[in-house]
Amino acid sequence: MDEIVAHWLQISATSAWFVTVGVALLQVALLLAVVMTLVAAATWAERKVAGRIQDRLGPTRVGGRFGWLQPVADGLKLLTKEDIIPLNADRILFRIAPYLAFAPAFAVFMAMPFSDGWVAQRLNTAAFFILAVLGLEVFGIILAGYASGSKWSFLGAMREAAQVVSYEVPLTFAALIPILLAGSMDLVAIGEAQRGWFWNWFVFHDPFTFVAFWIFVTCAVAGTNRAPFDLAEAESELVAGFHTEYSGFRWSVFYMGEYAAMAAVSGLGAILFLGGWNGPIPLASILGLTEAVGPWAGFFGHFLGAINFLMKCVSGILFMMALRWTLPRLRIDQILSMCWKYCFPLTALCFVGVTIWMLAFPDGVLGIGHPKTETGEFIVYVVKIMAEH
Amino acid sequence: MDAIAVFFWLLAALAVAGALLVVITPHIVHAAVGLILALSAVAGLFFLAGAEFLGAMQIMIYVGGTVVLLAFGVMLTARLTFVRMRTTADQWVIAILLAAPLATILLQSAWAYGHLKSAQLSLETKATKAEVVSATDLGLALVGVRPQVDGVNGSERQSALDQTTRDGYILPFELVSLHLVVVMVGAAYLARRRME
Amino acid sequence: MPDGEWNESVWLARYGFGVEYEQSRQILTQEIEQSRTYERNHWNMMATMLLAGILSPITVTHYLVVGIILFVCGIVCLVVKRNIIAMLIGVELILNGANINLVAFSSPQLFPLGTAPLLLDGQVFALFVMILAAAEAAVALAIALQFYSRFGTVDVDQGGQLSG
Repeated sequence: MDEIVAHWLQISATSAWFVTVGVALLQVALLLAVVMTLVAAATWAERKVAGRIQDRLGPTRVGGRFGWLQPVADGLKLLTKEDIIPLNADRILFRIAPYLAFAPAFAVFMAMPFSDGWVAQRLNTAAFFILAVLGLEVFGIILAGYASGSKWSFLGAMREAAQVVSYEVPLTFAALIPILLAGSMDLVAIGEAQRGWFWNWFVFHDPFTFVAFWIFVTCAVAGTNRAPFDLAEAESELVAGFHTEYSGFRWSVFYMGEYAAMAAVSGLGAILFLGGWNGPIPLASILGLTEAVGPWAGFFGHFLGAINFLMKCVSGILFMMALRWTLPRLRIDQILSMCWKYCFPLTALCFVGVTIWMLAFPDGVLGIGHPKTETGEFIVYVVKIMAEH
Repeated sequence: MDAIAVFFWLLAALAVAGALLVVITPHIVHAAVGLILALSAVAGLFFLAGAEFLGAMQIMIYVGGTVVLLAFGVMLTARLTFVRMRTTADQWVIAILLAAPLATILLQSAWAYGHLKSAQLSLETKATKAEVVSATDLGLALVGVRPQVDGVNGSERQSALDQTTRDGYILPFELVSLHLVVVMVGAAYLARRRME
Repeated sequence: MPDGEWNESVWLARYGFGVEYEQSRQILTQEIEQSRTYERNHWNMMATMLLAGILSPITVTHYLVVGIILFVCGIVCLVVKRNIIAMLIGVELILNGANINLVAFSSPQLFPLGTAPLLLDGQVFALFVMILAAAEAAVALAIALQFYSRFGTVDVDQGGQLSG
């Protein structure tokens, strides 16, 4: 895209760098717009879902019958609040901590494909990159807890950091299983390996992957500090944990970061296990909207896939919200023991089980077969040649 | 000044700023933040150099693991307030006396590498498509298979390395796994609470 | 760095933008060969070289310089700091400086096709360095915790029981 813009503006090669930077900023702005809309809608959805589960209506006054403009009202209120910094706080760290918690959750969308080939930056280690960057959120938490200068915040932050860091391990292990099945860490390739009908989705591939999917869900909920794992930020426990001393706009930055992280792990789970942009029925290829027919048909086919992906993201977010208002909260020792004594051994067992399943049934149980990926085939070919030597 | 140069200078400035912050500040938590900055910028430099897998590993292991470990260590070894241990002026003098000649020698050798290469290369060898080291190659090498060297890929690149690397890196891989298990057990034992 | 680009950068550094490089290339080479005054002023030459380094495309040398700065900062940190955890931070900086070096020499982007000295092996080496550094940081921190519980402080100057 930068060559097109540079040619259009008739800029020489030596000054073309700011065209590249400008185009990159434009792409980042588009991504941010999509994710911010999702986050704003999620704040409205949270209150509606909470209300419905508790047998009441939720917001109904701002913006008509359904309270559509409630997020706008919330945002305005938070922006106009007084900006308080505690006396004992470390000023610089107090100011940058919310942004350190918010930035990774948005940065992962850079490598997340919304449809076949529709990804901001196609990395061949995309799944690994997303898992690594999601692990950076713990810094915002630690620094916020330390910089607030109060004991509640510090204690809550340490507990929460321990929880997030512990749950990263089974999360990565569970995410490793679809990577194993597809033979590549490239999320576009993983999505392509699940094309077709819904029985090609990795979650239905074998019982071990099915269990691994539910472990992924548990670890994702725990990693984003949502209930029932939200001891560290629960209002009835430690006042508000690490964001006790934050008010107004800074608190809303933490809040946005939490919703963006929820959207990110929902999206990741959708691509890894639930087929990503492939629907239950391959609508695009049935209607003939593929690349082979023509560019516009391909565009509409991919657009249907993107809608599918966003629907899966949103249903993941709604599931997490419903979970929050359904299950009671766990204690910190219960959370950590569940991670190390139950989730982690179970995930390791599933990993071994999947490798054995892949060796025993390389073409699926009923011999139907499933879509192959380029990298997976290359690895199988290389291993075969090495075995012959 | 092409786009790569812009991003390189940005990331290099961040890395150097982080390193200088670590050296200059007497406050340990600020030093940890400086380390986060420096390591994240180094991960960005890895991505810029085309080592994607290594950049993701840098983020996951160093920034997401080692620095969290250091932060926990800082919090666990703190007393009422964080004691600021200032270094005296004579210590700074010794450090500068040590660092300046070292830096000069290293910078000279780095500079000399550039001139060495320019004597051999010309504009014609600049290719349009660069080779890519993908995660597949890395993973296969760690398991003991070197497609590029053994010619499975059909590549013309001849490696000047001997038989030990032709076999891939499976032995170091297994040793490192064992090493990590030993380290986990050892660190957990070393860090136990002393029962007085 | 290829010859043509280096000369172009030196030209830009000396005469700035807006001067036609192609038609004056001979003037520059003549100037360097003939004029003694150009070589006598070392500071001028060093400043020109530095500016040329900033304006030229990114090469291995740039990466090496960043690695060196990190390495030297890490060593100064080890020498100067009294807090044991600050010394560990210095060790991490040293290891990262070395890793930049390895990755730069194994990068396919910084070298023309087929001339990268290390390629895959350099990246595997850097990977092992990362893993071992993390392991070493864990053990060092465990020792630091024991030190703290024994001496009640993280000041390494207080741990002088074995000396003298």
